[in-house]
Amino acid sequence: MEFFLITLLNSLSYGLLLFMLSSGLTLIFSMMGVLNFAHASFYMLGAYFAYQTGMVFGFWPALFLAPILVGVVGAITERYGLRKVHKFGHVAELLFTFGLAYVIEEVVHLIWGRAPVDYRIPESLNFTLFTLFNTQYPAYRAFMMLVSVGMLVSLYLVLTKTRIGLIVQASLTHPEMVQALGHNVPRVFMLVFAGGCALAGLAGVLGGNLFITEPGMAFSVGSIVFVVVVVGGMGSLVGAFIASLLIGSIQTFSVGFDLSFIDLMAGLGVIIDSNSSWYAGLSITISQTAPVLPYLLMVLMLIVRPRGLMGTRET
Amino acid sequence: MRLVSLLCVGLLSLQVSCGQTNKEVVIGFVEGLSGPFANIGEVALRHLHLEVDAVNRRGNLPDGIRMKVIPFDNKTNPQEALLVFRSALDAGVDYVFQGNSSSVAIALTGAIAKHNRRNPEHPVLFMNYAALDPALTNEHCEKSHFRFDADVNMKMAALTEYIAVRKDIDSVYLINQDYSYGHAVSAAARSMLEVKRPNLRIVGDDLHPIGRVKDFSPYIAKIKASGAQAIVTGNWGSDLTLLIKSARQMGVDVDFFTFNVGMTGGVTTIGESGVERVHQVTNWHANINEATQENAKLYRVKYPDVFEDAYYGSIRRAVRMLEKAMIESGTHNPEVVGRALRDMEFADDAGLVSMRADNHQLLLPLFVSKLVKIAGKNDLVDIEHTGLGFETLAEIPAEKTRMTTTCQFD
Repeated sequence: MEFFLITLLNSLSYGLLLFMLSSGLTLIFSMMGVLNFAHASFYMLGAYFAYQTGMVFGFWPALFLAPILVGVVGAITERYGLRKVHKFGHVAELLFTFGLAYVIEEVVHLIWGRAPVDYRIPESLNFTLFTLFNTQYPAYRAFMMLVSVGMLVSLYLVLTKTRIGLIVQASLTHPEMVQALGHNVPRVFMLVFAGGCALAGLAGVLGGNLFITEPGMAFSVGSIVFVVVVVGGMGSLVGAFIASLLIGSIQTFSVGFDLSFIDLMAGLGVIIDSNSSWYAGLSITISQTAPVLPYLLMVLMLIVRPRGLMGTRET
Repeated sequence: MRLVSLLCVGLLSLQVSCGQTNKEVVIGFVEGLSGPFANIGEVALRHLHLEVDAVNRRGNLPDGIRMKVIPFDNKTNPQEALLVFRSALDAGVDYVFQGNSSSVAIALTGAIAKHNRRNPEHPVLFMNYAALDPALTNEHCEKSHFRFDADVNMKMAALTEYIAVRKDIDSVYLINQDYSYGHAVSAAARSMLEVKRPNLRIVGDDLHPIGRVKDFSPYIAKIKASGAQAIVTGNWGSDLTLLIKSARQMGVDVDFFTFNVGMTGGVTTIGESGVERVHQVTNWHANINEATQENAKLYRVKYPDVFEDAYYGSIRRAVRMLEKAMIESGTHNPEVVGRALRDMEFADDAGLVSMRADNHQLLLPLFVSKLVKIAGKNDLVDIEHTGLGFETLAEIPAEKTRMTTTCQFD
């Protein structure tokens, strides 16, 4: 019971962090049709910016400053990069973001070095929130969940209840009409791209000190974010939310199961000899395969339901 | 011939060693310098530079030649390591230094042996300072490979000696990286604890992917649920610091028995909560004796602005033994130097060490130490300015670490 509850909380906090990361990606995709390969790099920039501004102003101002800075970098990227290559089609856009990911990583190497930086959880949040049975639950994880849920709610409200949200939604489906009504659609695109990047930056601010802030952090989350978006359905915010929580719990819970195929067969009365050449392969436990499971899920999803959980496009 | 000399002139202008005009012996540092273990690679490189600079300052090498270090990034990946080994050969490498990740070391040792068979006129030696998979001095042993740190079995034997006398611990949890080295640690811990503490329960044995796990909290929840009193782990680099970080955040109250916690970032991460609870088995730490303390201080003087402290006694040892072998054999030819290294004895700062001729594994004293507050203990040096340092609990003499070997050089 204790294990179950703690693991549930852990999977929730991890899933919500994944959602913060992937919401920006899926938003940008649904809006502009651009699959931003550099998205995880903006996550990394968020962590580094928070580390740097945090040294001067402390954690709390950094929590707001760093995502804004990342958003500014995102806006510049869209205005002077993506928009220029847009006319050459989607392949050019993909290649552009792909290259950008490497450029950002090298820039991070140059400025902050290759070793992890000492970006820490602020003292004001570094305490035990509650003790469940006898496991302490860190306040910072709860804070992270709070921020992501708050972000989800405000994102939903902005997109559905405000004028800006209406224009964004309209530009999504009828850009020419919106343009004809006198709105600056390219600027809306730029704002959406900046907003998506800022969300990734926010995830970086929160994830960077919980885990580790290093140049490899973009690479390590880069692929999982795409899994979330594919499983949830390209461009679907709700889908991304469900997929994040799903993948978060799959990865977290599977660690707890030490069952292997051999145990399964033993349960069925078939004993596999440890000298068998199949033994090594078959004795791999579910917990060892934990990191692969999300990718397996993605492959299955692409086979069974290519448009994802909530996606609308067939291709 | 004219073509060759022209080529030599061309290469020399690129500062690449060439044929007879060689005034430098090239040490190729083939290590992970990007990716999750980049920081550990950089720490090792600084250790190597410190020692090589000292060798060059002493200037005792035959023919007045100097050592030169060229770093190559293997991305902690065996395939990548084989590729950069080719570039290292092109740069005229004589000695390869590598240690982080045994899977890389096994790939390299094979590639170097093959190169030596095919190119006897330009042999290369492999100076392994930290890859601890026992296979490297047993079934995968090669004449061109020398290991300057104790292997997994030697270290685990020392560590389990100590766990055996800790009667207050009756359950342990093994957590290791899922590759040859981690498997070796887990297997050694199981077999040795079974003999030395038959009533000790091993309540968990986890293998996690190397360098990929950023959030260890699911593993910690599992360890917590198992009720283990101690964790035994061979993890290194960020896999160790993140594990400790998670354990600390979730308030897990266990003893840690590790191979590498003194490595950069480990003590800073665990902080005061690890005092008297965190143990390590190493071939070197700062507080063995006055000489090791001096060397730890030297590192701080050489690198005042870096985060880490001296850790790799094995790099110091490897460079100094290499220097001694070159002086004794009067050449820098790796093949001849290798013969001088084979059964060399060397007075190290931590004690007398000797190279085994039968499998090229160094026999060296090992130290089980625990983390303590240095306040009030004036004779101890701290780590990373934390006010915490390691204090020796037990010393295992070099000869007692000798293991049987299946190695047969052809």
